[in-house]
Amino acid sequence: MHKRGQAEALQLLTLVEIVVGIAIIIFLVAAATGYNSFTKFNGVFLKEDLKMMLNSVAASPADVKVTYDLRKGYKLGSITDDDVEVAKDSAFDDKSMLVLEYTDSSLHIGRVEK
Amino acid sequence: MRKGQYDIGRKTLYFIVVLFFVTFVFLYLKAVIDDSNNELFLRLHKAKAEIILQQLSTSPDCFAYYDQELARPYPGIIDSEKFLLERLKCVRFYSAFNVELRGDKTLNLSQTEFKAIHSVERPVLIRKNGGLEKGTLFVEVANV
Repeated sequence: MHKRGQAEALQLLTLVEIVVGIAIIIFLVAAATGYNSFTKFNGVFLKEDLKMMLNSVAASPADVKVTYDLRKGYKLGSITDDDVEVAKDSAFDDKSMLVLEYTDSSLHIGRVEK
Repeated sequence: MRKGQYDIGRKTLYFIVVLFFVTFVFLYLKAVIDDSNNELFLRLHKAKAEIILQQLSTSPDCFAYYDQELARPYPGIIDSEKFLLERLKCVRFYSAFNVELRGDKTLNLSQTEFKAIHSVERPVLIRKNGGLEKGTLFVEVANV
């Protein structure tokens, strides 16, 4: 190998290192902040928190109205009798506040803008 | 071996070691954080048991006595006529729990067979035949 060839090979290796380094950083950041970790945790947290909140509201012996602040990353899909669904795209997002109202033995769920 | 070849070989080896180390550290931290999050949810059964007990004893839709004449419920007073299995549906989302009312007699409402991991109880008054007697409402939950 000539000296000139050696220098080119070293330059090429450095370039490959930079490209691979950037690719690894992108992959690790995507894996850490992707749907399967951070967002999924927020979804599970929202589900459990809302289930407990709805049952707490329903535990009231009288009529009660509660506003529930949907924080960043919280997106509520729907609430059925059996489950609370989270969704990626939803009208119930962090720009909304949920209004949980328990009157006449039934639960009403509304939404107001922040 | 010439110097250039030696440098290329050494850098490649260094890169492989660093890549392995960074990946290992990342996976380890991710597993620790995930475990921590899961632990948080596993501890929720205590709060859920308290909420279920609260709902059963205070809501007129569950077991709380409701005076039709005054149109008001009495939280903490259990109407023995309401102590029925279908009334447990007043608790939404959770079904893996059993309820026991311990008074002069012990009444049990079992929804499903499960291994209870936590139980809570609260002193209540039981309304029976127009009178009141002391009792205890007992709730045991699985990992609901």
